[in-house]
Amino acid sequence: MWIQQVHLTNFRNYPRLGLELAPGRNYLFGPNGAGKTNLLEAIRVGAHGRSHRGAQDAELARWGTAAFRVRLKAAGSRRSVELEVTWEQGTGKRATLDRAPLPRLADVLGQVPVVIFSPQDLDLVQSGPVFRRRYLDLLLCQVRPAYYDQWLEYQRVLAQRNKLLRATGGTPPPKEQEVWDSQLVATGGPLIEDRRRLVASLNEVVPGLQAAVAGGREDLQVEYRPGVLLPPAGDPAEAFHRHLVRARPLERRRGTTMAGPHRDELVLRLDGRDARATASQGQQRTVALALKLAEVELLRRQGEEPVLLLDDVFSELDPGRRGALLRLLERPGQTLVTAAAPDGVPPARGDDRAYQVGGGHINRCQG
Amino acid sequence: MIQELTRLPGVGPKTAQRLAFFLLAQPIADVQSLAEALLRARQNTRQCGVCCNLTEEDPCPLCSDSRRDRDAICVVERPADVQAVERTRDFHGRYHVLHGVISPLEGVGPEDIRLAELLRRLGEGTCREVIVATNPSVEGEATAMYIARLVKPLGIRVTRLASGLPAGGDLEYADQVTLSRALQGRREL
Repeated sequence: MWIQQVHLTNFRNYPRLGLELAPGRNYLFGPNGAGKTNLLEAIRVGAHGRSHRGAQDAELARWGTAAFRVRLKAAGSRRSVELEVTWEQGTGKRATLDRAPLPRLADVLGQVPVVIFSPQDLDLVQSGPVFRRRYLDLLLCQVRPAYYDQWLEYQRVLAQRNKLLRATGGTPPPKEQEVWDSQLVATGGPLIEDRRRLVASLNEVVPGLQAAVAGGREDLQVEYRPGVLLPPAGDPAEAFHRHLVRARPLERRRGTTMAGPHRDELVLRLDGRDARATASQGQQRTVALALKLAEVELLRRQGEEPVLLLDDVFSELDPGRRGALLRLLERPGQTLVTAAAPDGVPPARGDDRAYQVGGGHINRCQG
Repeated sequence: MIQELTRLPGVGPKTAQRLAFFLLAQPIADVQSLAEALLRARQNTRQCGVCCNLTEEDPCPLCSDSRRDRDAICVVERPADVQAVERTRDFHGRYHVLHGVISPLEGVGPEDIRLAELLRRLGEGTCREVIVATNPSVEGEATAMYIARLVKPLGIRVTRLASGLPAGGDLEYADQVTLSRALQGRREL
């Protein structure tokens, strides 16, 4: 799928913007603060319903305004779609698909597959497990729309169970404890199953991508470590229950749920060692990039070529890795690349397009 | 008046304002009869001593109707749910209204809903099946499971409403949750 047009109203530094994109590679050049990242963020808001930078909705509206609009027109192999996400102070965010309102904002997910890679994605490797769980969840939401509802249900059960633990000093009446334990297992079990399957598919593509970006010198494997002790054989639901029973003394002390997929970890093994602890900054950047490219690969298997947004990545890579990434971009899909200046980024080829970004405008470069 | 109206469910500040201005433009007699109707309805309504449904007579007409089966009780969250099941005319047993569901986040425990009343009724020994018709929400499911744990040891059958596709609907328009639940609960042909 590729994005043909982006229309923005009062989004970040853009009062109004109408931008036509090319199906292949689109380069966006401009100094820092010109609004390159804002454009990628707008596309991400249009395609996923929220910012990749964790920004609040009010921050996305242009200074002094109380509403914004993002409209994407995209064409795929089977169909074309028009997605619109609007936000208004007081009423919140809403989404429409082909001008018809969607029941929920989350229903935009999966309509226009978009993968964004930005400097913040180093968090995937460097920071806490929550970032890696979020990576799995976002991918699963796009691969299997029902996953989002399962996830929501689990979060609700978890909140109820934690509240019960806190309200009773960690010792709820046995019958209530049993009910929430069962609900936790019933809603959490499928999440673990889905994540396990996803990690298995990731391992089919991640080693090859890491080797390609790092020039074949490094081996990357993804290891799923569920937040529930699961023996290799036997009924997983029963094992989950057993773990909850065993965790009771600990839960009494901490007043919070100590077993379940909310404690899952994803260990990134670079040449056998945990990349979070031992890899260099450059290696960690490559690992994060490989995970993002794996996301592209898995979304492609769903039937539509995803749009890849690369935010200022070339400046952070050494020349060898930069070249490797450029070769990977010789792919069929649409890519948007931002950079401060054209140097270090390849000269535009036949169907590539270059734009100059600044002052709330984006103009196509001539020649 | 606007502030009072905003406390009603489903009424925001805008609707409250519209209602208030509408009432102010009406003849005094009309407003008076509305006010009296509200007051009378509230004064004459209480919970049925048997099923806890809202009623003007105690026991309520459903509980005192001798033609209704005594061997099945349908447990619902709210009085409005009784109306919904009644509209089907397919259920000829009795009801029990919980007035809520278990929800620790809202500070509602099993002792805050009408479960003790249900157990007392079951102790009479005429009921052989409890049909749990709480909403298919996280809290509704938890309450259903809690009821099952209380009631099954009494040797009474506990069933739960099936969840699935709306009748007469198009598969293509069913939402994902409903459809995947229906898929999980599929049956042999």
